[in-house]
Amino acid sequence: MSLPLRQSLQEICKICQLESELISQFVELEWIHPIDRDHLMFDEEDVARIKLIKDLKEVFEVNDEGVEIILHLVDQINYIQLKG
Amino acid sequence: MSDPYQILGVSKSATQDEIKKAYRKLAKTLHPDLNPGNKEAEKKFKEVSHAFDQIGTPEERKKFDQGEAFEQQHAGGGGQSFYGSQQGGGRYSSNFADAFGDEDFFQNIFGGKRRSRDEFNFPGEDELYKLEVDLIDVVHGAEKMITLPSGKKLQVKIPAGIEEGKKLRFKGLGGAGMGTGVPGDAYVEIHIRPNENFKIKGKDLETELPLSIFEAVAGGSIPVRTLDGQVSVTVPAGVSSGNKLRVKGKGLGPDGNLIVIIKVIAPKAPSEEFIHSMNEMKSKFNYEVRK
Repeated sequence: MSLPLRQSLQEICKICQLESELISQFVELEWIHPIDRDHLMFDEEDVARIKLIKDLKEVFEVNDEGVEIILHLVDQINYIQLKG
Repeated sequence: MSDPYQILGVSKSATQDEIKKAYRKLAKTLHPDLNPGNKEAEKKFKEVSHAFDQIGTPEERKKFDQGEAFEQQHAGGGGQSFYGSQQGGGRYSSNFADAFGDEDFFQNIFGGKRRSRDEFNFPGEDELYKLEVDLIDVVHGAEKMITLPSGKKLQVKIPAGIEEGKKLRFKGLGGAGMGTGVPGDAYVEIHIRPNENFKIKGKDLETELPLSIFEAVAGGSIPVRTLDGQVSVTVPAGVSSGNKLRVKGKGLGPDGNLIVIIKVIAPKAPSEEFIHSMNEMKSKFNYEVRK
């Protein structure tokens, strides 16, 4: 089942199994850049990124500074791959 | 139906902590964002994740153990990985260059502000100069001309009574700043040269006063060397080595004293006549010193 293009914060909380305050915090920290920041609407890339952050914090118990560094490195790897 | 315990490699009696640790260990090597492009790892990660969802919490584990079917709480199961979402040009990857470019990422993380490369404003470094002074400079105060590491000449006023190791600060006389950065400060650290005749004891000075056996027995007015000259000290009759006398106001600073420590010295190589006279004296005036 594919996700609709944009979803609200409330819908994302259910999908990702996280509190809305936490996801809002991710936005404040600029760990995620919602497709529509003004209305807090999220697309499938945001969902996948939130799940990655959740894995880093809950499964790997990485602290906030570590999460930021890892996200940066992951973005860099994906960018390098994109550029070919 | 697949067995989540088997997939995670734990026994049915494993604790929740053991289950979490097992999942974490597998996730490290299978997570698609930590192993980008590895399709096999991604497939296995989905299996392992699903297994962890089934027994990762006490509530879900109880349901599974009781034979209840696991219900996905959310649509799409595990969903796609972040890596997967970026393939073919995701927003986050495409915008990477715009977001960070050549800037120092770690500077942004750890609190540095964005700085234009044309502006480079730094405050100057502080400079330290170690200055040796004599005890007499400390007693009366002094002025010394020094040359700082930067080559600057500085007239330093040493206040009377200054302590060993004290730093005198000269604002803005250190290293030059860059751009609009303020210059650093110069620090002059005071070190007092050891003096062979006087020891510093806080605000007081200590000195040794050698006395002959005649002076030790009879006492009298004895000249005592001070830092800046000499004074006559009345030594009472019957002093011994180690006894202390105090000369007021002759220490460091106005309320410091000079502590005079008596040292009785017998003559070296006394003559036969001297020894004979002393033995005669002893028979008349002997006193106990060993109890």
